[in-house]
Amino acid sequence: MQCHKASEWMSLQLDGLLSPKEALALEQHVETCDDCWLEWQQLRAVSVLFEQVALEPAPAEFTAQVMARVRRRSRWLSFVRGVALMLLGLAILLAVAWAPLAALSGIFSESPAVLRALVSLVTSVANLVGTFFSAIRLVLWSLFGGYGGLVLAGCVVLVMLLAVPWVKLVARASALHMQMGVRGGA
Amino acid sequence: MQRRDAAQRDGRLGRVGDSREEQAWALRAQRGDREAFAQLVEAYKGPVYNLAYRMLGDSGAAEDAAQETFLRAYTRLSSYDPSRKFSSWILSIASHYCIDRLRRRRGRNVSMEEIQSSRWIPDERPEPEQEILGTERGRAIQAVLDQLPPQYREVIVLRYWQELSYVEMAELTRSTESAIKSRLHRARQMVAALLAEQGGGLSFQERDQRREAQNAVSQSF
Repeated sequence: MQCHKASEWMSLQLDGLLSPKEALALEQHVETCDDCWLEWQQLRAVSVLFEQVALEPAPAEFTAQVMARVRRRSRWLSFVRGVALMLLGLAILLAVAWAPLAALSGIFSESPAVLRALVSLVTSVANLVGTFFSAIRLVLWSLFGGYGGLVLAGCVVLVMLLAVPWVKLVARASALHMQMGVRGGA
Repeated sequence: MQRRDAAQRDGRLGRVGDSREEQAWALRAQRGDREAFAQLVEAYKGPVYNLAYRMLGDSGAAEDAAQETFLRAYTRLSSYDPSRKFSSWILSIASHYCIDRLRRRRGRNVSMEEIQSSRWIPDERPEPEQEILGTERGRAIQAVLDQLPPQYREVIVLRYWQELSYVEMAELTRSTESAIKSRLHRARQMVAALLAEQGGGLSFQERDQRREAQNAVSQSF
């Protein structure tokens, strides 16, 4: 047996992975080879040394501390997810409210003031609450602008009426979602 | 929990048994049951803390690392595959975190080239009194561990404190069985060499005399 191989086998022997035949071969080699005998003694002693060292116990309040941090992080995550979902919801609502506005743009050319409100609507996308109120203002204004405005008003009002239950639904679904745990990011 | 307490009293905790109870907790925790997660923390705080301590060598750092491990586990619960053992999963998180920390630490790690061939010949039968000095020995061991490069330290810790098999270690460290085999062997050799650097040893003459006596007495296999 080569010393190199014997050396590898020593490690395996320490982990109980040699067959009896292999163990015997190793033993025979070690008895005849000084260097390997030395190495075997050393490796075995290292193993014994490690086996004698006890486990370090975790600190006393460990579980309590971890759970406190878990609660904090969980609250933060819920908050972030909630805000993200709300923003997404409002963005979708805005897009839905936008469609009739875009479709009826012909009427707006007759009323430049309405067009100006439209532009402000676009520019304030970042402030979605603001744009929502802009839509309401638009409705009120367009009501005085003729039947085209009424159609527009009808669309926007309908969307807003649907918005409330929709947001509630999303909120409940996301709460349930978080409770169930997200599997695969569904 | 009684089984584990008994094991801890013995001074060693082998693997935490992945009982059906614990797997049930894991599933409930995945569904958002925080109490179940707390049970898991309680069950695995020992192994996780110990792994962190042996890897990082410092109780403060170990506590941080152990807490962070459980936090990561909590946020990643959705990615835990219930068909796997929870212990492997949580230990793998702990191990990877510790390795990352070690790599970012500035500090001297012993390289293979620096380790000389050793002159140290250990005692065949250590005196009983020496075994009782657990803390002393523990600290000495930790000092040696602290000098090993991260990946070698990892396999030693997993083998001797978590008592994982090669297969389990390979899975946990995301490498192969043969890589683990050679890494563990290397690690043992490095520890032997480090101990030789630190301590004295017998002269060659004494070694030969001892060997004579030994051949006449016991089997080492």
